[in-house]
Amino acid sequence: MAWVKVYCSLFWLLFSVLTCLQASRLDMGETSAPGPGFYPLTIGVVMGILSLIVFCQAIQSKKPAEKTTSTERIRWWNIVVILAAVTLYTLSIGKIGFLINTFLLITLLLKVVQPQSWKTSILGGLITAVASELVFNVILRAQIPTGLLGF
Amino acid sequence: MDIIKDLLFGFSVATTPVNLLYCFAGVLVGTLVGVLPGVGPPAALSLLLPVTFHVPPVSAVILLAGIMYGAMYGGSTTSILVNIPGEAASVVTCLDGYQMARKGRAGPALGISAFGSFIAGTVSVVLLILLAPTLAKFALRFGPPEYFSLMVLGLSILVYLARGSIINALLIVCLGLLLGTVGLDPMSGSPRFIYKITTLMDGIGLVQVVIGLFGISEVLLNVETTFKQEIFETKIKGLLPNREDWKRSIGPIGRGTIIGFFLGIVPGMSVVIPTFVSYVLEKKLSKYPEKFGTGVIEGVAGPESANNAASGGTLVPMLSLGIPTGAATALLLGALMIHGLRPGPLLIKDSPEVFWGVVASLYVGNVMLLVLNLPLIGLWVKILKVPYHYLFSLIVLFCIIGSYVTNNNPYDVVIMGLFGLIGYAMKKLNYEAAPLVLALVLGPMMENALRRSLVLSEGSIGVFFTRPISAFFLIAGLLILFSPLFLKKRRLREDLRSGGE
Repeated sequence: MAWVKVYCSLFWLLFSVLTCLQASRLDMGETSAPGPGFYPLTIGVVMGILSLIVFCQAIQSKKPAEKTTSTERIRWWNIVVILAAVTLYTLSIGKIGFLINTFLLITLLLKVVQPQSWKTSILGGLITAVASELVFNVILRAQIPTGLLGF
Repeated sequence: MDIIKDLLFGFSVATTPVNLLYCFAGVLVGTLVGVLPGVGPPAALSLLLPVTFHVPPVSAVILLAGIMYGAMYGGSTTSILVNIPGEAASVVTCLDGYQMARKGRAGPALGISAFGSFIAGTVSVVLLILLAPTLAKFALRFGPPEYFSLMVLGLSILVYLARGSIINALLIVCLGLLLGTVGLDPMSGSPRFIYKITTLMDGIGLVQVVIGLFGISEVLLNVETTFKQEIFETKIKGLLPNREDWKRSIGPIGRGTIIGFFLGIVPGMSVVIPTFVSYVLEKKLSKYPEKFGTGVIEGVAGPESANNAASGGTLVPMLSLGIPTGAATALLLGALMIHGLRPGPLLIKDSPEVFWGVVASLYVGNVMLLVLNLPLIGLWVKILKVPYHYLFSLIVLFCIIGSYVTNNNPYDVVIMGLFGLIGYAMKKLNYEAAPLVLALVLGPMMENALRRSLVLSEGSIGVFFTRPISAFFLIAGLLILFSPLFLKKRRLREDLRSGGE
């Protein structure tokens, strides 16, 4: 049995059930004047049918689960660091500001994801922060918050 | 005669100093995007879309269109020199282009690719001029049922050609359609799936979704393992193809142009499939098919012409019907709408400066690319040598800025990050992202057309089958979708996708 396919189909099934439940709370209208719930409910039902087909195909499948050819270990840590950095950057940009935030982000990414020396990381962060401040806030007037520095 | 007058008017718009500057910036950024693996035209368009908010509409579209077709030129450079396709439309070019480079014929490969692209670009502009206004006039007969059926046809083709299982692609389309319902209901104004999050009131932003799915997910995929950066050192000399090269390439360029343009018009085909079709055709027509893959110039000339012609072709339904054929044209459509323009049959009549200005700029841009690209090849190769740890950090930063500046809303960046994770999972599980993006764009239009059709017909779904144009589109779409039940679909689809590797 192809377990990945089974899990995927169950995810889609759950998602379609939730969609149908949420859509059914909206006004359905009539067929001659469909309401806001009609279209999402239809999509939810179609998704449910499709996920059931995938589920049936998966449990009937005699093909063994595919083995990944790469022997290299996946560096989950890098993915977590990038997503966390993006979230922190975003949530703090109003207070700390674009320039400092960009410097911290680039320094962190250079130091942690594919580790560089402190000197390279800090220099890379500094150059990128100043250059992007010039391009986006000065030349393109993108109005990204200046935060602590306030200029 | 009217067409010539309109075209001259278009050139007068496209050749103003400001528009020339935007066109130049667009093709330059496009080429850079094509060169860099991992940043495709959709992500670049999303990043630059907010920058165009302060710019006149015609300049904005000229800039964004330049990125789209500029990427086709850039993609071939990396395919030929380093065997890394900068974007999907240049995958086929790797097969023979890289082998030519290994044999010391990188120059003619790059040369024929640039000249082929230029010829294809020029012909596609002419075809666009002839076809788009005619199609727009025809589309004035379209009502909501015809639009709905046409969109079903487009999504069916995209699903049929998607990588992996058709059912998986259909599930992704459903997800995209569902994401398109988030926000205020367009007909009644009542909120749907908002959960008291004000950011979702205007719906899920296309820019955030595209940047997440194509930009962040690619970075995540690259940093999960050690990124190997291999540059094949070769001396590039003699960029001008010789007489024999031209003799062997002119047929493939002509066929690639026609195939690319007409397949590009079909919603769902986008620019990738025509390159595979062109390669398969050239191999089939060749007197020495066994040599394909070892460095024959026809294998470069055909697909490279096809992808550039397809870029022009994709603009036909977008400009004349208001229907995008892929992720990149979906963003272009979004840009037109942000600028208060109504893409569709009335665009040519209501905003002739935009339509004709953009069409003329395609030709101007192609000339710029031909003049620029060959001398700049050395620079692009140097950029490819920039270590990936610098590149990915910059890509992450640009992704953040691109999603933030659309509305200056931090939560948009969170949404982008979320879609980055979703895109990463989709790539790991072999789901394709393009159907999701197209469904997200077409979703609200489809819902609108469906509900208006039902109101018109007083609830009868027969309206989709009793009107001839609608019936044709819908039956064609359903036949494509269900054809695997009757045909040996796998072989046909694999043939199209693999290009007979």
